[in-house]
Amino acid sequence: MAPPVQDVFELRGIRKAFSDEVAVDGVDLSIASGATTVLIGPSGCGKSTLLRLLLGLVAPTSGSVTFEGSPVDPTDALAQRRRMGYVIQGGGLFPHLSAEGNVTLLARHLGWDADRLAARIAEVCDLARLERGLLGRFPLQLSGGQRQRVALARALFLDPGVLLLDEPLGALDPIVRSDLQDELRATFDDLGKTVVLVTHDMGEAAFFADRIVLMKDGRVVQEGTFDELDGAPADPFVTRFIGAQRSHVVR
Amino acid sequence: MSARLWIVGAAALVFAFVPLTSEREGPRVGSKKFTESVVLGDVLAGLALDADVDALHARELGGTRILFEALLSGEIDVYPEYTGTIAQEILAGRDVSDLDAMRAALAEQGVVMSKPLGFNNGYAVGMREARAEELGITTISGLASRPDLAFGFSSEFMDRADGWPALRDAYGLPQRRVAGMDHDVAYRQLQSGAIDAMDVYTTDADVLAFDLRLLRDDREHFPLYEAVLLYRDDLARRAPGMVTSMLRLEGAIDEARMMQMNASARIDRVPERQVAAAFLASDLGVKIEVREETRADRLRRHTLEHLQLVRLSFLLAVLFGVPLGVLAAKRPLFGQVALGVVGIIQTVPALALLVVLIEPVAALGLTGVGSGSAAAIVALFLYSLLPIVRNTCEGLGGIPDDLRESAEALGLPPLARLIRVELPLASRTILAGLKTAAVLNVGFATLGALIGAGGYGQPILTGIRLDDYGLILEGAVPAALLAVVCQGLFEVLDRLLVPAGLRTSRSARTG
Repeated sequence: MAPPVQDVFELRGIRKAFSDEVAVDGVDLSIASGATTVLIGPSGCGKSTLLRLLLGLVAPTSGSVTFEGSPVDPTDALAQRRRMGYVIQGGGLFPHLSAEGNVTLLARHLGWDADRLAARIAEVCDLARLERGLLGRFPLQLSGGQRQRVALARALFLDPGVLLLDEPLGALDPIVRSDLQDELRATFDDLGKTVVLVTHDMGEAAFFADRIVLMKDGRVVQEGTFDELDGAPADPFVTRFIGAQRSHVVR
Repeated sequence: MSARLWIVGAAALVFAFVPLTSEREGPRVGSKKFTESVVLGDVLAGLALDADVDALHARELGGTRILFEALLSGEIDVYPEYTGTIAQEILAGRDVSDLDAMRAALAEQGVVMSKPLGFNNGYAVGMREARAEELGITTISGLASRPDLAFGFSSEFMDRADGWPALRDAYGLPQRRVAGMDHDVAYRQLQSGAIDAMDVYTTDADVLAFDLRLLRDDREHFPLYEAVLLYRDDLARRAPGMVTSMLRLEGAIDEARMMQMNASARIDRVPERQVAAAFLASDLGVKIEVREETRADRLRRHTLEHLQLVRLSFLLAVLFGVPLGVLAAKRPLFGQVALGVVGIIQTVPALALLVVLIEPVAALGLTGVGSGSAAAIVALFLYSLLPIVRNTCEGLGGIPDDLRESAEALGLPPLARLIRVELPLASRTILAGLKTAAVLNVGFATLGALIGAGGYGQPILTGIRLDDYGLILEGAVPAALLAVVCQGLFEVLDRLLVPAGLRTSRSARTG
């Protein structure tokens, strides 16, 4: 039997330049299995690009990304992507499909039969705390929080080993945000999956993270638990970033 | 959604292929787009009927080029032509100084020329009698001293070798205000004084009706235009009785008789079929029964012809345009080229496109209902492409990045992304493109009549020729109505095909 894979993602010497700017500038990072890793940093620090590199949505300019031991090739990442659930900022729900249509889209494409679909719908609705009665509605008929739950249910549908979330709570108002934050952590705990979450909010990072990766200008400034970052900052920027957001930190 | 798509698709296919016009087998008579040719065409059809051959008369197909091409390709079997036209235009550049040489040259192309029918319908230059009197002009040479005069010539006369350029050189005419215009329009311009002289035919009824003075061709410049029949050499084998019967016209019509028939049709508004029947009865002792089409019959026929043009060209445009638009959206470089090309096609004047297409379309062996309709369908197809390709490309290009990325991140392969996500999201824009194309198509299709494709353009053309506004409206009004119906049909399709989630307004949002 092969030894269990400890690190789900391995990034080696990753550099990603777009035509007019360098988004990621030399990142080496391992993302551990079964833990929640939060990528955080000010806007434009490269955290969302890093998430897209994990999914193979963009190709690195140089360096390599491996997922469960095999390289991620953006031109042929379909099978790998199906083992990752992705919740894009704002949900990315397809407005022409009902909530159910969104949630089941890939499974229907893969030819699942009605019984299997129905059973899995019930499971993901529970996991994502999504009311079954909302399944027939279109995205424009749902509130922000409901849309986020649908997006989560869609990401979980094929039971992926990895869940990648880009600012999942970003667009929500504070009360909904607080409720959903609790639910989301409960979901992560239920699932025991590898989670990579992108945020710019240190409070959120501290709330979710087993491990925080703080980024600035396309580089990793420091990685560790919140206490490590808070107690032994590697750089004055770490102190400033935590300090500026200290009032939000709720643990 | 997908069930509806299937239903709509199936309905479209049924609509596209259910036969609208019954193809008539058997010989076809053609005629050019002027009264005399149409009357002669009806006379020929009557003579065929007298020989128990039910020959279809494809009326008012267009000019010489279109008729002769149609004869060569077998879309028609016989049509009336003039020796001058044959020498100058059909056999241009060959030495055909006499009728025998002409006959031999035509035979090489599988075409037989009859003996002259008895009248000369040559070119002449005509002025209003009063105006000519006032200026003291009786001959074409007389025009040379009046460079201020304005001429309005038929487009064919303007361009052809034996037309205006030759006339100008032969008489040293100095006039600069020389415009090409429809022959029937020129008569009205002449009446209003906008032009002083125009080309007329020597058997033209309007010479009498408008009180024109024909200027004497004092240098004998214009060649003779003796009427003859041109027919395919295989017609004698396929319908020998018809050939024998129609050759009874040889030497049977003199100028006065022809002008009389033209006047009867043009001025007294007697339908050409009846003029032809009257001639056959009185001059050749041939009795045929004329069943004149009622307005409802005509409307029905023109509607079916028009739908035939629109549906095939539109369906082709959708089948090619949507995939082309998808490709254009996926491959930006290709997209620029494709949109550029279909854009350029759109700028080609419709008539030019129609005429240019006749030969290549015939060479491909495509024919249709009536001569030239395949060319018309191809032209309409090309015209319909731009809005479809452009809207498909824009609709796909306008999909927000986060949705595109979501679909990709889910792990859907490219084709599934296109079908399940991108096309539904772009459906509204694509349908709007189809609607634009269909409405434009209905309008453009009226031009099909210029090359003999029939449709609502036919009564418009005939109406212009006969100066009959009622007839013009008989084409223009239904064409406009059909465009409105098309518009409405696409509103319905929008309801059926655009996913409900895209039509849900934000105000309906709950929770």
